[in-house]
Amino acid sequence: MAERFSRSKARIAVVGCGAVAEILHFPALRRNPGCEVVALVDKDEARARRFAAELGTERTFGDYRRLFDLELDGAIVALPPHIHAPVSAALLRAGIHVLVEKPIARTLAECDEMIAAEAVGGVVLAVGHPRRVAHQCRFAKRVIDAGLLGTIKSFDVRDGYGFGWPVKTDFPFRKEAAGGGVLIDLGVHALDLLVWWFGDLQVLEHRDNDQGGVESESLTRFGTEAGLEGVAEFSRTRTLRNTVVVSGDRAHMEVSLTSNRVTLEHVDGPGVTVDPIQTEGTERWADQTPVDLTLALQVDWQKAARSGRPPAVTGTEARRSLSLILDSYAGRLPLGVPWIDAVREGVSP
Amino acid sequence: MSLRGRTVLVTGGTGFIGGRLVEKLVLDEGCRVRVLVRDFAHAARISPYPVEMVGGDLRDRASVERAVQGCDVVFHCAYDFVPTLAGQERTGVEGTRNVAEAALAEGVDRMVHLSTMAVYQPLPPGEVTEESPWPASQDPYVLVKREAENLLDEIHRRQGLPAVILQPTIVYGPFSTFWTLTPLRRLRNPKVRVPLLDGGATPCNAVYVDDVADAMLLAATRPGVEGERFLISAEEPVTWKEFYQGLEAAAGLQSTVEVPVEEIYRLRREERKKRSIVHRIRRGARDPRTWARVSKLPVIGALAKVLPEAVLSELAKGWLHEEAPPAPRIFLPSDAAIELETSRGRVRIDRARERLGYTPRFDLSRGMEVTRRYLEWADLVGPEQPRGRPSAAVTPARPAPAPGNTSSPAPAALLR
Repeated sequence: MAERFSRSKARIAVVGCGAVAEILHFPALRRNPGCEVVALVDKDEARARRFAAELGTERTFGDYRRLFDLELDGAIVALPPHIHAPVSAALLRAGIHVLVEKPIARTLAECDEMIAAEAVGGVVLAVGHPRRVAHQCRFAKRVIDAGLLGTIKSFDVRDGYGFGWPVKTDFPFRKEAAGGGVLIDLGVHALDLLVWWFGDLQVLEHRDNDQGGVESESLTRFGTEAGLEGVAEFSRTRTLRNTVVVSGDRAHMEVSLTSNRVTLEHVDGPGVTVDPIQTEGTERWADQTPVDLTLALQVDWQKAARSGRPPAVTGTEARRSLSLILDSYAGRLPLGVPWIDAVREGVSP
Repeated sequence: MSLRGRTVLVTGGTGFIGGRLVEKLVLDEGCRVRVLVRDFAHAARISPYPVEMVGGDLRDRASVERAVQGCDVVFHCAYDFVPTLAGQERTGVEGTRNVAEAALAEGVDRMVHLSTMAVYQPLPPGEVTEESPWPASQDPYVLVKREAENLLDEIHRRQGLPAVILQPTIVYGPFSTFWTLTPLRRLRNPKVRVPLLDGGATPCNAVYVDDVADAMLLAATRPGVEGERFLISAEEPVTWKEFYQGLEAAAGLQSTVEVPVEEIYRLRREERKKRSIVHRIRRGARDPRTWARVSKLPVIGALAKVLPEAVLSELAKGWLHEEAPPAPRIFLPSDAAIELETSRGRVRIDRARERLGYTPRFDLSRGMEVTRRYLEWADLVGPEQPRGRPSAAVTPARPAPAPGNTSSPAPAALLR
């Protein structure tokens, strides 16, 4: 069935019509010439119908199993994380290519179920980590791989925004649905970059402010046997620096997590900001909007499905960052917030 | 009466004061906390706690009833700051009615309603107490908050709703939009200076958010105070100069400048003139960006390619003259802000002290010290910087800890 994607317009469905579908996947699909949306699925079928007309499809279902009756090439799974695995695995086993939203799943077992289903179906499982297709992150990967920074000594990630994602339900705040809080939801993006750039990491220490819900703040220290160390801080209540600083013994590099910008600085010399990054020729790499990145992920997934090459992020690749997250949670230490800690300590000016 | 183990509902629990109250109810009081959530996008702050989030809307009677069901105490903190009077009334009055009637039907022990000092605005000079008059006002917020208080008074008198009304003053602290983050945004803006009106010598009735949350806990548990209302402020007012300078110091900034109110009015007249069409066209013609845009038009662009540079620059001289970067302008407050920041009312908290046993624990310096730690944590210290853009020479901005350091020191020391 894998060859089905080779028709001029692949027939795809979107499973889950929540915020991520509405804000990213639908606008990207409208600009995606390689896809024809043939069905939308949402447990609130009325919500699916609202989007159906503008995407040029008439089929809406309240249950994804109805998709098996269609001659479908692929499906975008944009559901809350706790149902990524059962739905994706069923689709994959039925020979339907899947692009699943991040985080791939809540547990490694769920992740492995999806990877196994991919093999059974003989199709492609791609995971939606948009920073893998972001210009500045790809540029950074090449700088690191080329050894331009020398031996990498440390990294420092600060990634935080006031949570403003217009979620339709409370799933991001329910541990059983989301798998956790800011680390698995937002942090997974940066952690995926880290394992892509530096290879497997170990969790040295993890702190977060979960006190019976899901964490909104997290702070994790990582290391490798080779002596590389780094920290990653994530927040759902604060706007942080939103860059990654990578320090090598020859040069430092700061990579934006939100725009196409990188700063490079020799350890002994002045810095240069590559702003925006340009290719060798005249073509300018413009800033990518979140929809641009989503479109790039969709296209990468389609190309992988057609050609049989792996997608930007495979299930196995996504498993690496998930594994780091689960290790972090397993050894969690408490993380305070200053307005509570200060008062408890009897703050005085 | 203790709140331990009891089920409480907080409306507005994702907001500034309600959020702090939720933290205290969970961490200090041991309550089972339910929060009515209109928009889950705002719920991150309280998400670390075992809080039951009930989706709903104050305007939707059924969702309010669901949220109140099984609760012993209701804290009503929600308010919708939409621009119109009608919009504010829908949540501020109708929403309050829904909460009050649901609470009455459920037979809750107490409903604590968060009102505001603003009901007494414009504040009279001298002491402001719960007996102070409510002068004529056109401000939708003032009108709606008064109407809500009247409504609760009536339901209390006629049907015995055990409601207690709190009227906090200028509430500041972590996550405060009105009295921390918004003024801070102006203070951090390098293009403006924040005025201290007439030297900022008038009283500022500032109160740190924890004191307000503590007062709410007292209002929920103190016997025999149903049907009463209480002004909640710090021990003594400070001055507006002290308040703004406290905030400045907390954020490591220096922006305030003393300005006579008359000068503000004069600057506002000037500003209005500048917004006139003629002025904008003249200014636009002088702006290099206009020229940049014009030169993108195909005709002009083609012309630019043909004409020699010398001719072009001669032409451009007629259009453009280099202007020095403008000096920071004075931020011009609204009429309502001017009225508030020049009023001479000093809020008294005697009634809350006597009837609720309320004792504020934060003076300005202590409240601002906690605020300072929050601002530092939230990366809101110093002049505003563009986000997500690597700075010119930052690296290594915050170096990672030295290898081998695997013990568990305090995170701040570890990472900053």
